[in-house]
Amino acid sequence: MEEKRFVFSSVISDFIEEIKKEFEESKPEDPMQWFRDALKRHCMVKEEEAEKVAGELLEGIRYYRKIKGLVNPLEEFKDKITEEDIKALKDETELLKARISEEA
Amino acid sequence: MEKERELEEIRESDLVNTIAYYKAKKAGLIEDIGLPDIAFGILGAMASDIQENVISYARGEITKNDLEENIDRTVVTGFTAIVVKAYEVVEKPVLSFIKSKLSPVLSNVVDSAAQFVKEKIIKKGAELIEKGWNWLKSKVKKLFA
Repeated sequence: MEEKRFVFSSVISDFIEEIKKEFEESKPEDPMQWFRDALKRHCMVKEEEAEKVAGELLEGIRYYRKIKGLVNPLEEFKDKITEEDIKALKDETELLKARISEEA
Repeated sequence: MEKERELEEIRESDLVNTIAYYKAKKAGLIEDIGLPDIAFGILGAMASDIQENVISYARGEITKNDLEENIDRTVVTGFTAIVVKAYEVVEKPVLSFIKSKLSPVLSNVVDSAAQFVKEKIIKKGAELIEKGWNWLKSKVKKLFA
């Protein structure tokens, strides 16, 4: 299972490299238009859906930044996130931290 | 004016990472746990923060402890943002399922973001520096300019 995940991470890492290279080479004047076009090219999003999907994804980016600005996000939303959720998250994050900090 | 403000809030790396994770979802590389589309924007922004932190650590600008604290903060922020947004759009049983499956998905996302920086940026840069090229600095600066 761990091996499979590692392979997937490697492929996603290749996606990031490919798309980043494409962005840099195209030097888009309008990055938001580039984003909508990239959704169609890379993610099989249809022309008529691109605007809506792009809007959702951009809202996600903005919402992450908003939550990041909170002092204690878990405390703010304790009605939605249980102690069990937090424990599962911590266990997973410990494994992850060890993996990331090695060889970095 | 609105466009300029939007670009200030959203970085190039956010756009690139978001496309990459949405593509990974479509390709079946990220487990389908019923996440709404908005979650993939959250994952893209998380990945940008992880990449930035791994680069700072590799450049000696932050300690291992800082790196680990920042990873914790990023994962908690991403988890919270996705759960809160999912509350707005999915039914309660689906939400319980998402919460139970979300940690490994976040782990996969963070891992691939770190791997991208370690393998494609840091390692490649180090190889070229050995050949006498001062490539890493400019690449890193360009990446998060």
